[in-house]
Amino acid sequence: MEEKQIKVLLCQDSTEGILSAVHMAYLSRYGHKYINIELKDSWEPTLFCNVEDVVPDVAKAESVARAIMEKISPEAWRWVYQASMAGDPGKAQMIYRFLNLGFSAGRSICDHLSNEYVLSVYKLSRMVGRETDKLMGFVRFRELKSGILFSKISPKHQQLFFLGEHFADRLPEENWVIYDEIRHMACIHQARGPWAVARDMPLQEDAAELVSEAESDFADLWKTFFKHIEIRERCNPRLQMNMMPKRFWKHMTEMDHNR
Amino acid sequence: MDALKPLTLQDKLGILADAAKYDVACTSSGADRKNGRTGMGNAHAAGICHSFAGDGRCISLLKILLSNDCVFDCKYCINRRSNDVPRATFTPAEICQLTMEFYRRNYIEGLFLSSGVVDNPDHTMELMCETLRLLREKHHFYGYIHVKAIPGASPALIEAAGYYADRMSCNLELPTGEGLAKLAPQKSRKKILAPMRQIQDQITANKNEVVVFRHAPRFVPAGQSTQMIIGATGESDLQIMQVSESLYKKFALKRVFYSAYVSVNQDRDLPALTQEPPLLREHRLYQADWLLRFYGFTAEQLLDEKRPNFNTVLDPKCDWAVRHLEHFPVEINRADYYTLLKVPGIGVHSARRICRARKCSALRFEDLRKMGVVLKRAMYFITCSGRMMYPVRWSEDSMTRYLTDAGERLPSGLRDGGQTWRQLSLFDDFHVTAPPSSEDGIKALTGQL
Repeated sequence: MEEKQIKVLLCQDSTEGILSAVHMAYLSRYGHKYINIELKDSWEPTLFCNVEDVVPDVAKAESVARAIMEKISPEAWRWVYQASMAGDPGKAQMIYRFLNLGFSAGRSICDHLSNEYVLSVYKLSRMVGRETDKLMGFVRFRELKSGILFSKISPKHQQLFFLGEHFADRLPEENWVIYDEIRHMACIHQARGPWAVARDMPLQEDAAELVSEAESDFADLWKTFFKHIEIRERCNPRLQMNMMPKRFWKHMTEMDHNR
Repeated sequence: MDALKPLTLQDKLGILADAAKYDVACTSSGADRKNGRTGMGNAHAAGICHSFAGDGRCISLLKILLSNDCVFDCKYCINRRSNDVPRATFTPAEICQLTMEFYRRNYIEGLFLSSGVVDNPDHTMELMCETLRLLREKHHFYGYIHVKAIPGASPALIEAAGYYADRMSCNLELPTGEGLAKLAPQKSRKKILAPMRQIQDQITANKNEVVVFRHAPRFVPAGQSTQMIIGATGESDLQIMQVSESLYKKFALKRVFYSAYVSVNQDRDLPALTQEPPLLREHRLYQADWLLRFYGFTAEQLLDEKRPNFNTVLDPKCDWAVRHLEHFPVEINRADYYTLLKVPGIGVHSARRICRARKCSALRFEDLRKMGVVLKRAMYFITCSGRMMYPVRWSEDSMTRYLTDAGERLPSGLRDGGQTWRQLSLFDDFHVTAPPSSEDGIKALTGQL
């Protein structure tokens, strides 16, 4: 008998996208062995395979998410959710393989850390989580003339959903926007209202530069504090850089002069 | 003329941040509070670091003194009365403005308010309470607040502050009462321990109250901490660890911080001005402190009268392990969690991961490496399914050599009292000839650990 051809499902780089592809893979009954899931934007075409595009579908993605939570565990769902935000081009395939194992092994799958796929999804989720933790501290808002707090970030992984949840609880009475320069996405929060993440948002650079009058005063006060809180006798720039990698500096008020 | 000009907010912030920087604690952990959809701020259980200063220490809180206009004359302190330094005092309103505006911009996680003693302890504590009251009640600030209890202030004021703050601390300053009498004549051990005991009692009482009345106001929900200066007086590491141990046990402290002495004043009772801060010693104390709190060690296990100080070339856990080879090797696939924790190179996280993963399949050395075990240290002390990774010579001397050859990831730029630790190791009482290679580490030094 002729060997079956590999089928590649190309999905959008988002949680819905990846989970919709997983849904399709299961529904097709083609055999997991013969299916790969790849991201549409970073996939490099290879010979001898059928390629299929997957249209992201929220309802399908939700049904997969529910299945993960009920048939595997809430912990597995957290891993998958975080890993789906990672900047790694192979994440869709890793999640898919992890779920193959998870749906057959059930709750105990998260203990199988010596398995390649389980470990890789776990590691992705931790990488994303660690960057979230850093950004929760390193995000810097500037007050615009309109009173809106505005912040720019350029993270390695998609972070707006995590940051949105964090800051919505922290600053409920403020209008604020966090803009992801790399993915051109924005997280927008309305005072005392809901928050949402918008895709494909171009940034009006000049509008984002119109800061309020008091802004530079407080930025200066902060820089003063930053300078004075250092103990000169213990000066240790290497340690500083290890804890606060340079890629974050360009958006941080106090590190402005190092740009 | 210059002296007569009133200080701007900018000047004051500079002076009072400068004055507060020797306080170590900058953690914002321990309190978890959602915002009630009004006001500003919440508290995150794990704490958040917002920036890192040039010395590599984390900046999480707006750490300032209310005033450095102190009437005390503690010899180690930059703000002692007899020093000629610029003096400034914030008004409560100024502190509120700075806190709120910094917090909005996500510069900080909250406020760390300490103070020199203005006029008398009660007056100072009153001003601090007033600041906290304004922040919580007028500005509806729900972020993190760490406040110092001023020794000698009345219990009523300390209680009031405790209901506004997340964490309180009173500094022990020096590890022993004699050291305190010598360097801080106006303070006494009794005056420092009194508020510490009061806070502990009220935290306990409040915990019971909250069980019955769910909405009862919380008293110091993130617990209390303290700090002591290392290297200003002649205590041994053993004495220091014993003090910490009893503070954790008897006062239920959340943290004890160690602050390498930085010479700022000249005094015949103090070490010479040229002495550099003993950072390696401080690092070893923090490592040992971790062993006390999370690894089930006691001070007497780590050090004894014959060896009252930590080894400069081996970290405290390795040092303990080579002296207690009778506990090793440990079988990874069978040993219980607490036994795993005692193995050098295995930490809290990797021990937990091992316990989970071995339920599914027997673990091999490759698996351990993937799980974050530091094999270059752990391999001398463990077996996987009955086998060691390599044959090793089973004696204290050769183990020590293996471990020092493997090197230790020390925080970048660690020096000890002016000598580099390479030089120190030559005089060490240990049988080591080759000093370990100094690898730059990514571990943090102090507060954020």
